[in-house]
Amino acid sequence: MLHPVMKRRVRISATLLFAGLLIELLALNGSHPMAFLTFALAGVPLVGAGILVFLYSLVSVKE
Amino acid sequence: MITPGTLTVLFFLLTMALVIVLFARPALTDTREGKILAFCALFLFPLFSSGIAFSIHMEHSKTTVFCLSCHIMEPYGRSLYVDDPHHLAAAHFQNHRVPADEACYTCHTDYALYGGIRAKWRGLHHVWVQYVGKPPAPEAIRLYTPYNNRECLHCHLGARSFEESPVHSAVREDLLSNQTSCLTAGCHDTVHEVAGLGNGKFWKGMP
Repeated sequence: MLHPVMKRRVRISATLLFAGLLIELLALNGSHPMAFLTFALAGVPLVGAGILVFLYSLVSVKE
Repeated sequence: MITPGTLTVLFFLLTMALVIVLFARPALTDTREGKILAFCALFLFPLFSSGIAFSIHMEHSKTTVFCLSCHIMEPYGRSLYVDDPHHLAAAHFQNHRVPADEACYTCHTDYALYGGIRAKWRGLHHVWVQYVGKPPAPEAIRLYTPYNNRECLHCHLGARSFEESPVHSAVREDLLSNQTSCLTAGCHDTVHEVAGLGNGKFWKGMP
């Protein structure tokens, strides 16, 4: 049975990652500095935060 | 045929689909297989996707379209179409002496170790000035440092047209040591000349 805290963190991680990946995907279409800024200032931090939340969930919740 | 761009989009969509699955069914991570899936979907694949996206953005940033997408660069884009063979930038662009789709980057990056990184760093500074600072008038834009002959000689050194020119032979050592600039008055001194573009004649290939 998955720990409720772990479950919540997986969901938070998934939400952040989905938002980040969506922004990165949309920014890929642009060949303009704004597209790069969107990627670097919105997409990457969201993906990074999602990954960190997931990794934290692995080490923070005991079986 | 599947292009690298299509593959990238497909990989993004696959990653996003797996992320949605884990959002909907976090209990999947209870099992060993589920843990592997979560590790891939919430760590490996997003990391890889972002890496690919970063690489694509880096390639985009080399394109002429990218450089000219800022309003301030518009006159410099027009200068590439001046109908005058004495305009250095226009002659190089129109005759494909530089790749037309990477014209700016080809001449304005340093052909040295870390040249590309330095060019990208300056590019970020330009973005900052464009959106946060006070952008100068196009004709007031100056290079950070005097144009290095190395950027010209990277292609021209050893070329017959360069080597057999008596003028070049006379100042060859000075050119190699940067003591005399290729852009010296009386030599190749007409480059972009954006201030005087209004009255100019343009090549019909101009979009």
